[in-house]
Amino acid sequence: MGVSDYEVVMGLEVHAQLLTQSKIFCGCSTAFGGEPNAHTCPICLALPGVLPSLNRKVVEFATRIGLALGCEVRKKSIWARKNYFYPDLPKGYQISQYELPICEGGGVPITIDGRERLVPLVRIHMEEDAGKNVHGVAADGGSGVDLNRAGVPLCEI
Amino acid sequence: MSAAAEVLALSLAELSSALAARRVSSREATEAALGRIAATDGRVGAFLAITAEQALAQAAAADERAARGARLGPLDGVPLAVKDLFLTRGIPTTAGSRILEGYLPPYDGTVVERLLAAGAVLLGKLNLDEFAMGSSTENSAYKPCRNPWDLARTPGGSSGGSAAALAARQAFGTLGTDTGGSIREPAAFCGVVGLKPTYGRVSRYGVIAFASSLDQPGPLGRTVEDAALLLQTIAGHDPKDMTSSARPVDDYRAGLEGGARGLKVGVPRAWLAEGVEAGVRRRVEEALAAYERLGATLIDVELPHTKYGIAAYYLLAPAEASSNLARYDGVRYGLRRGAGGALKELYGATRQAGFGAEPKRRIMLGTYALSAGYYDAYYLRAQKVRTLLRRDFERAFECCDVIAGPVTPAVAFRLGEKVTDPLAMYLADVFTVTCNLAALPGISLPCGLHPSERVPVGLQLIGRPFDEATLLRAARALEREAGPLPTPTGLEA
Repeated sequence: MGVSDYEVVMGLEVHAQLLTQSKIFCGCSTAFGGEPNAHTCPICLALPGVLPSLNRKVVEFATRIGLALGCEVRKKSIWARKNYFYPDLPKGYQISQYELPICEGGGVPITIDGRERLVPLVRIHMEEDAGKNVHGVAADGGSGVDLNRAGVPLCEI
Repeated sequence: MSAAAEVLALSLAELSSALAARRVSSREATEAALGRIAATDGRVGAFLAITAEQALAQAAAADERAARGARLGPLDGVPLAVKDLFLTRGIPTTAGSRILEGYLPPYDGTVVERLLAAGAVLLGKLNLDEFAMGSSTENSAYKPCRNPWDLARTPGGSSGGSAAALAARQAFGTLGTDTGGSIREPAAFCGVVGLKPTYGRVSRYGVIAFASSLDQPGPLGRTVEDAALLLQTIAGHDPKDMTSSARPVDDYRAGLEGGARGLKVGVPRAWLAEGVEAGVRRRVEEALAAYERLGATLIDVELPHTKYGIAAYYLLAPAEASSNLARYDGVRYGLRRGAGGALKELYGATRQAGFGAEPKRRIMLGTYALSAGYYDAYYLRAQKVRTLLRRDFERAFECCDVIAGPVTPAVAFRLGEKVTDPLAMYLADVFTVTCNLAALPGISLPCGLHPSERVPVGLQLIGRPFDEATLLRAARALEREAGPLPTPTGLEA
């Protein structure tokens, strides 16, 4: 068989930051830059005893994306925890969506070689971003953890 | 009796009246409590941290308000203490674990904020089973707690310190948390009143999480009225806790003296069958007979799925705990070991050194129950059992107002008796876990002393969701009829 006998199929998983003022589960600023850990609070630092409070703008933005892309936008969607250990994930889990994401179906219209195509979407869900490990910044050459980005809202498309 | 001892013999409600009438000052009450703690806690072990200086400052402020006629409410100036699972700003909060040894929170949890805003005096933090996992406080990483009725026995757990401090007259009211019985069981063992509110009635923001769908903070008091006063202050919606209910809070004192006439009391006869020790059964049956004399009707009910309660609980709670305890990793706060090596060493050394045997056991159980290939068979199935249990109660509440039964199969056991047999420890939760699984409120109140062992027996009442008012009224009716328990004899004043 030759190369022309194969069909290329590409899947894309795209994470898009939602441009809200505050993080997804707390009131901290989502502004880029800033001193490490300047935009943090007990919630996004995952101190003992804290609980998430959902930012309604995040749901609004995810809904608008879904409507724009012709998805079915669910009135009920479910939050789930993705459990793993890494220093930039302060809770030891990421709050994301697994079963019943907020949007399903729809598609992204593109034009290729003058022809209009619709790239079908499987789903869109909301989740929180992790922080950032910065290597070599500690006095002994070790790594530091900057949690400014932890809790910034994302859509996974 | 000395003046201090007289003050300490008052209930929270009586102290509150005395403070309002300025017969007693908050400073006197606080000094009496601190003196009692100093004299007895070496033997009881109820306190992990004592905040004497802060308490006296709070008492002074309360007295100043009282002098101006500006008392904040019934809790103003009343010395209380809270389980060391509640975050308290600047006061060590350990969850009874070495992994949080010396941890100083930068914030107060919502329930603590509400108590402080009501003018309460905070005496300190109370001993508990590590991360609320246990039924005897023997799992505390710091020290055991002893039952003031008999120092060789446990006070129960996990809110052992919360119950023992009341029985020892070290505080006028306490807060605990209840995930599978951790307020009701120690209340029963120590002869005090303990209430687990409906899930969502009280905010969990600022309470160290054990099992997020089961945990509920709640009050313990020497009397039903005391528990009602505490609940009144802490209950209600909190925007910081999305699982807290927006339902308005009832006036729990309003109907308290309404009595039990016409009350329909459901009795699950299977709960009084084999497995319940004879002396406990006798006291519970006497309490049920008392309800009949008071004009209540007893109705037999069946709760066929409660026999699966323990199995479901000991899958769901560890599963949720395994996730909630992941944040204790040595990176941002608490104990840190193994730094300077690979990441795995940091995590491994920190958690190996920081967690005791029971958290480790439950983390492993829970992680296994959630893992790919087992999730459906264990976690999901346990959730389905939960639904069936809830339906059992819904059906029972079609014909009853409250459901009554024992809190525990036996009275307080001796320290060391069960700690090496985790399964035996788990099985004793059989009557309490159902409330948490079905998200119902439950109260434990003393119904006498065991005929031969002479330590308290508790009666449990379970209510409809958000019907704490009926539970409190029913409990008060029995309390009025039965009269108070004698003073615990395990401790000399």
